[in-house]
Amino acid sequence: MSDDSIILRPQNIHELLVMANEYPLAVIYAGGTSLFPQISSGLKEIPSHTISLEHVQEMNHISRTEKYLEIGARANLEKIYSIGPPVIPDTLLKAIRETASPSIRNISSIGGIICSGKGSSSILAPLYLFDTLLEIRSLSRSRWIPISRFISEKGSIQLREKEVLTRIRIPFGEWNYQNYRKSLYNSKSRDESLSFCACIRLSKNIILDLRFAFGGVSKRPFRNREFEILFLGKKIPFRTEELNALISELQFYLSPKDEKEKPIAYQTRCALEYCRYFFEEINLGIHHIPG
Amino acid sequence: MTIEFILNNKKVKIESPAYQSLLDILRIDFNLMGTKSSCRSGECGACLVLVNRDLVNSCLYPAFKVHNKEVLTIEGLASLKEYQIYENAFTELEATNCGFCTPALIMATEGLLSHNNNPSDEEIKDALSGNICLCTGYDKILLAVKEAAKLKRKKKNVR
Ligand SMILES: Cc1cc2nc3c(=O)[nH]c(=O)nc-3n(C[C@H](O)[C@H](O)[C@H](O)COP(=O)(O)OP(=O)(O)OC[C@H]3O[C@@H](n4cnc5c(N)ncnc54)[C@H](O)[C@@H]3O)c2cc1C
Repeated sequence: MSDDSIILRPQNIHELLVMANEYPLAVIYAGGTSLFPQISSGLKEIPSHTISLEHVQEMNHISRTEKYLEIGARANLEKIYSIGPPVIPDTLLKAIRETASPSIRNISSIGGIICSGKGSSSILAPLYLFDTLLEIRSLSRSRWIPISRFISEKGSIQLREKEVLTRIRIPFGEWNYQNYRKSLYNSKSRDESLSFCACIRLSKNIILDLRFAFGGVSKRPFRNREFEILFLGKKIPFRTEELNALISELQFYLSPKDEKEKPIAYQTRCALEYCRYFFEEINLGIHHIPG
Repeated sequence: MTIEFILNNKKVKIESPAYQSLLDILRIDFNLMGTKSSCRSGECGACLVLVNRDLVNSCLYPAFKVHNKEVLTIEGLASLKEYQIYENAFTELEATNCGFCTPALIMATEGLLSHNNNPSDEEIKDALSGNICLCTGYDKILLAVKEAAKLKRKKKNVR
């Protein structure tokens, strides 16, 4: 194997940004679980410069305030999982546990998952669910953007040259019940899956807030506030007819405007069924759900 | 580039391309064949080793990241006294058949038991979820891991 990659090892964010500025074509290397197989199989050329995030301690940091959880972009999935509840939301914990195996989770970073921009990633849907914000930095500026704007409808990520994803901010919410499910639809690829997550806030059985996010039904995770708003103020349990009507409504929202983008029938069906299970669980467990 | 690291408790130094995999370093440069080469994409788990005590797929681990780390392979583990526990558990419970995946299964077991000496079935299943075995079936492997945990606790006098 010919190899001419110069490995740059910044020790802090400032050094990282200086290097990213100086070598705009350098590859940012986090866990490498996505990059390395592409490079070693020849799908991607060996980069002339590699910026390894390994020693950037600030980007491995996980902290919380009263209002939100903040995760450094290089934190690996096992580290995030080990923090556990209540700091890490249930849905995200379940999503991590359903992602790959411990040996992969020991290396792959949350920032790497986001920057891979795969709509089918099992981790992205929970991040959409909680209105996650991303801190994007370059030497000359820093911006926070909602994750829903980071990945375009076509699945490309909104990261400009010399920019790095540094922090992930997940606002806390008071949820009475959360749910996460995942199924694989491509036996050849473990990272292509359908994922569903939802959370609900109730007061005396009245829905105050309800959110759903799906991964794997389109090029980026699907979440639609218009659909969620339909539920606000409704009382649970739902009657069967009411539930059927809501599921048909969801089917409408899940159907993309562009025919070419249409998800395969299996994924849509699964998404609808997962949503139905969620409501059935709420109907059944209504007496056990605090709120 | 020059890479220095600790391999199975010995300091070593090699010249390697930055993007050579740890798997190839182990097998080609050090002739350590217990770490198996199979899918080379992190799917099968045959190449698991411990780097700084964390379980990783050596096929996804580039040389440049190995620098200054501690790597433990099945050969290194086998040179330790407590390896006997794994050998006994896996052979007595017939948890190995062709043996191709066994070194990596033992590394995954070590990765689990080194921080959890009384894992639940769910935790064992998760710990081994990255290991593919095509001939033994997973029930016996699960029992072997439980047995190894039991033997380890007994050795440390922990219930
Ligand atoms: C066997 C296997 C099973 C898997 N199973 C699942 C699964 O079940 N669910 C799932 O969702 N995924 C799965 N994956 C995919 C895996 O989650 C991604 O490969 C991984 O998370 C990417 O993270 P990384 O840190 O390894 O990124 P890297 O490979 O290092 O980087 C990925 C991309 O992001 C860029 N990048 C990384 N960090 C930053 C940053 N901070 N700023 C700017 N750019 C950055 C890199 O330049 C690169 O383009 C699996 C992968 C494997 C190998």
